[in-house]
Amino acid sequence: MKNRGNEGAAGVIFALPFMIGFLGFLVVPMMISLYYSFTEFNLLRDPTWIGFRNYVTMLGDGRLHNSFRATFLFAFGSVPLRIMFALGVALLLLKSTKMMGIYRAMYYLPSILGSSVAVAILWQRMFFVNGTVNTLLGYIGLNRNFSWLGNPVSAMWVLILMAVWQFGSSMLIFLASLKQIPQTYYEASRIDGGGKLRVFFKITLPLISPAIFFNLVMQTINGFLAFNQAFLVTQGGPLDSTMFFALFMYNHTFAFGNAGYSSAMAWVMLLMLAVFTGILFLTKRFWVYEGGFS
Amino acid sequence: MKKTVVLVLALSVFAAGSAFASGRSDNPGQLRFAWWGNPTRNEQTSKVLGMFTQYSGVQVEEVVTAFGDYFSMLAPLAVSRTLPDVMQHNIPQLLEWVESGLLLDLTPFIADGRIDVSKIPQAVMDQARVGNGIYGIPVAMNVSAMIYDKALTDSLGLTVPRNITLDQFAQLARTIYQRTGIRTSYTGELPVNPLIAHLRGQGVERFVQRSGGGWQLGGTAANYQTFFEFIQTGVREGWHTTLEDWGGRNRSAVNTNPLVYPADLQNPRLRSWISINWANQIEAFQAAANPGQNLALTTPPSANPQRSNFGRASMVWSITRDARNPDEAAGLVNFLINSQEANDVMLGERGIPSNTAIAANIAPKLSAANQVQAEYVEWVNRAGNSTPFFGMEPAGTAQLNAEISLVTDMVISGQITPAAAAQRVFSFGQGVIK
Repeated sequence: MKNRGNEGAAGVIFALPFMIGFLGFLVVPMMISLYYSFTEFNLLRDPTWIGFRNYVTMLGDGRLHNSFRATFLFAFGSVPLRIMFALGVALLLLKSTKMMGIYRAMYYLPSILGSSVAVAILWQRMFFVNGTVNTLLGYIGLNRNFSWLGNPVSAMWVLILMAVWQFGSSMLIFLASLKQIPQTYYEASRIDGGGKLRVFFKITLPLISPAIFFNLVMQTINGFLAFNQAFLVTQGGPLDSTMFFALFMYNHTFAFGNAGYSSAMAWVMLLMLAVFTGILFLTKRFWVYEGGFS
Repeated sequence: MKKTVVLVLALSVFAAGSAFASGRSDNPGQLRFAWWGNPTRNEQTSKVLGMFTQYSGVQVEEVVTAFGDYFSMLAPLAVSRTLPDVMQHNIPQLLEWVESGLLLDLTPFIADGRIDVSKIPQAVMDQARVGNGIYGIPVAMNVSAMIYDKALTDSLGLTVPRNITLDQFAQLARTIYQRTGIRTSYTGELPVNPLIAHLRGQGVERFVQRSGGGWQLGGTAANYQTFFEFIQTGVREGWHTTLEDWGGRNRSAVNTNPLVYPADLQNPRLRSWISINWANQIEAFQAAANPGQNLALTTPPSANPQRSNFGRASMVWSITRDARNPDEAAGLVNFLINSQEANDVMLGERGIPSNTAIAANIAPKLSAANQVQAEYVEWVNRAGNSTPFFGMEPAGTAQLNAEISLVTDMVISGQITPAAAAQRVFSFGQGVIK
């Protein structure tokens, strides 16, 4: 009996760091932000209660609506491409060869480096008019004066490309999932005369659908919260075309002194994320196979 | 044993919490000092802070970033009451900080001589005055300016006059574009700078001005429309830089500015022969310039330059509400203002020192670029060459500036007419400034 009590105390002690972190760095700040969303707050003075005014203002804020548009474009452009690319590379890296460990590490590297400031600036310089990309295009006789970051459409694609390039974490999840598929399924299919495409769509894809689902949920959330790329590479430009929601929120908080307004924006984004994730979970039973491999 | 584990865990959590909570210097003999800078300024300031430590025994922790991130970085510190003891402040933002109670009134320090301002003209000191208080010591005088590539204009046999009018400016821009393909970045960096010159040239003294208990935009929408029409003309004639020319470059970075960025030397389309800026930026621009590029200063173009030209304190040293050692903070401010040795290191990089004795002493030692600055600042401040400027701005101005930048880019890319742009800026401004 005494041992059980001690075990309980030990459990509490070991859970305590997480609980403190969870409450101190998540729940409490969220509640404070909810309060701020009903206030006018510039970070320099005490907040003033204004009720729902911030939420009403959001309805008529054209730049905010544009930031939603940019964020959706980015998320819906980058997430499917990233997942497809990660899956393709994972399929290539499935084979066992001597160099495979090195290849896997190399392909994972952009995911580690990709969020760093140095790589973002490198990426920006690569796409300058006088950058590496145009120089390479010039070697093959293409237009070497295209302004990738000065054009609203191509600037968005540069950021999408950067996000797709950071496919490593999705790739590792796919790789782990692919390795779990029993080889007997493929052998049986081969005996039955199944072609490669048929095997992929009828065996591989259904069996890794839980990994696709997981990647889809996580990458969609990451896509909606994208900040670094726009902040470092395009600063939201040109013409607000890459002014992602998180960057717009950051500007309102720290540059414009509208922390109350940006708190309201954060809560709207949370609701939107909840809705999108909820929709994904509702569709799960139609396409995600959770029957196991037995 | 278990009790020991619990104790260690509890202490760890407490220690971690304490580490997060700290960040301000409670100990005597320690200060935190914040400034925004550039590579040249950062190196000089670090050296000067080292000299102060040797002189006073007070250790100084540096808090430094680029201007674009400076106030964003400090705002959360204001919330957590961990602002640095001494900070470089900017005249436009000063009022909001004073009204929020974040800065100490320096009058008592001045009155008992802890901060000696006897060599700073009263008119300059008044630029940091709010009500009866002085909330910053002006570091240096600065003047609105157009930095231009004199080597280029000389090579073309062109003269860029002081008090250049809009017509003269447009003619020069046209000629340079036709003969070299090099464009003109009139609104590239921060469109509000040429806009202020444009408005003042039309007789609108203040871009933002007090009205009753609040604030409003100066002038009428028509004043803004002529500004956007001038830009539209430049774009149509080909001499004004476009968004494609900037190509994603950070507008506030000096080293990639089209006036000096080395990678653009071979491509005239990406180059600009000017930057509408501040006179004290010439040192940083010249440092980033290509060999053979000789930069010079003239006044920003306007319909009436004698009316639009202005000088103001470039920045001030302020002591914050969170300073734990105000006496030592005052000592640092006094050192920065009055130490000849310190100013021999800084040599006018922040602008020509407001301390007139120091300014006279360092004049022969200035770099070639700062010699140009000193001559220009003195010229603009001469009677008849400029009019007074009220530099403090209300809350909401940063958001308004961002809107002006966006709308200017929309005019450049043909997405909006000058009339609609003027109306949009004007109505947005009336709603956002408080």
